[in-house]
Amino acid sequence: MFPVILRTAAVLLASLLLAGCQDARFPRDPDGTLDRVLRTGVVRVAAVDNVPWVIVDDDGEPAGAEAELVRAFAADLGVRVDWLRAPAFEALDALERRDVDLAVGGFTKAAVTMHKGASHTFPYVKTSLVVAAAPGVERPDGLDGRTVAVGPQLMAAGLVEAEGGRPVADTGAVPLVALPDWRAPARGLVPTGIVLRRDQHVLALPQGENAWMLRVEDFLRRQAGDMGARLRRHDARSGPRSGPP
Amino acid sequence: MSPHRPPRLPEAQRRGIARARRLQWIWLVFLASIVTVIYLALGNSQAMKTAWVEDMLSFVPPIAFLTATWIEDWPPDRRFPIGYIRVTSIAHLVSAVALACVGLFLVYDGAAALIRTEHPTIGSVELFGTSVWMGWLMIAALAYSVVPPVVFGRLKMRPARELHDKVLWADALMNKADWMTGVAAMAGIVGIGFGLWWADAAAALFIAVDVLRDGVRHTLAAVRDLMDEVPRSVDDREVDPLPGRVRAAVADLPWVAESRVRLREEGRFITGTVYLKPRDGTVDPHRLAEAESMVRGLHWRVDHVSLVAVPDLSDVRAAPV
Repeated sequence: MFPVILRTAAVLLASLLLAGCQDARFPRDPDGTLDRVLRTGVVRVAAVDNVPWVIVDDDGEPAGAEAELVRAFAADLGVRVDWLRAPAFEALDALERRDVDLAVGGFTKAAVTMHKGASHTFPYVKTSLVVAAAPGVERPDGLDGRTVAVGPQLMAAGLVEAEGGRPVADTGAVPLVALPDWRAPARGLVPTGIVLRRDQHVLALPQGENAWMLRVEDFLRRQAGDMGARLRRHDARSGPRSGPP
Repeated sequence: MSPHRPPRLPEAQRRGIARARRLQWIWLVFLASIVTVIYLALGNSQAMKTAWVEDMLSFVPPIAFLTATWIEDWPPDRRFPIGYIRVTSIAHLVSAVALACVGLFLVYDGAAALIRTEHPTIGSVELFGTSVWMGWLMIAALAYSVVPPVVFGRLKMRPARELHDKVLWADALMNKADWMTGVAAMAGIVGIGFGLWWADAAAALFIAVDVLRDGVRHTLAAVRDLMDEVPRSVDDREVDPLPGRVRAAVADLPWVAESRVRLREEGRFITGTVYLKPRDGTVDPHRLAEAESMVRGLHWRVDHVSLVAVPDLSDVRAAPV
């Protein structure tokens, strides 16, 4: 009896594989996200305010590096973007409820993984929080006891302390500064090799929508371009907002 | 008369064990390569994870076999005056219990994924400049994992029968069934590709139930052996004919009035006692020793059997065979 079952399984599998090869739409989405987006011509995107990844203004379309990326993706698909503003947790929840098709806002792989109902793309850009020094300043191997300027809204003081440094508010007068690696060139600083934190950035998608995932990831591979430059551009534009309150 | 001699395996069986050991070493190398390939392709697929755990588990029986055949040969010593032949039965039990526990865990894991309606997400990788769905890589890895176990499973069956090695037999069965696991996992991934989110968890559950069933069956068989159940054939299907042959051979002796055999399986050997009532009420020890070596000559597996002459069989606690 068992050989019969096995043979049936083998034949079934072979036919499935053949069908899979002939069908351009493989893999498919259990909930048909990609099909729906193409049919209706609308992609629903949750935008989470997180300068300079996504900058949500009171009115008008969101700006920021990832908002730009989403618009390019929508253009690639030939659809328009329906933006929905949401805090991070609600954006991921909306993915689980299938209320949105994509969530952006500088999400990290770690943050999305913690949320059961959402999945994420491959880490298409990696950033790190580094300690940088002014050019010409001696670059130390460790922080032990040194004063490190921490930019506003960075929440890096604890990380500096953990490395043995002394965090102070960024006044521009301190030779060592904690900041995201992509911001260093714009400020004319040189990274020291001391890394406080590494982040793997992803876009958040509904779970299990594999055709949709493949399309988004393919776009990221082909078109994401130099995210560091994008981030710097939006960082500069939103200058006053990132300053101290 | 020394009732417990160290087992002397005939030359043919010694060579058989050496061959089986070589086979297992080669198999371990293949298994390691399979486990590595599957691990590298492991994504969010529940079925794939389950298949991988099963492959990891496949390490237990060969290692148990190699350990048991190594220890089994140690000569009896002060601490273990009977020798080490029972180590094979223990190896059988250990691998069976491991199998059953993991089967239970996998059933729970697969059922939980179904109940939570987890939609497995499988991403893509860049290959030769294009985005390739990782499902294809998983299927390729599984396809590689399907062929070697079938070949090795078949190769192990004959020595397992010839050597009456239940560890080797269980291992061969597991290997033969292993390819179903690979196919089921592939079906799960193809199912995901067709947008059937539950196909993967269902395939995982199917594999897990199979693992659990194997584990329970072998655990029960190993426990029965350790409980001195009447010896059974290596595939556990029928009662071993050897004890019957021993009884018949003893009953055929002209000076034996009545006899009872109390035999069990220890590893690959049949051991125990034959109680006999001499026709004249007494027996020459030389005659007894002669009869014992006749019994041992029946089969290489009959080695630790001692003959005991008693005046009355009614005190012997042995079910008639």
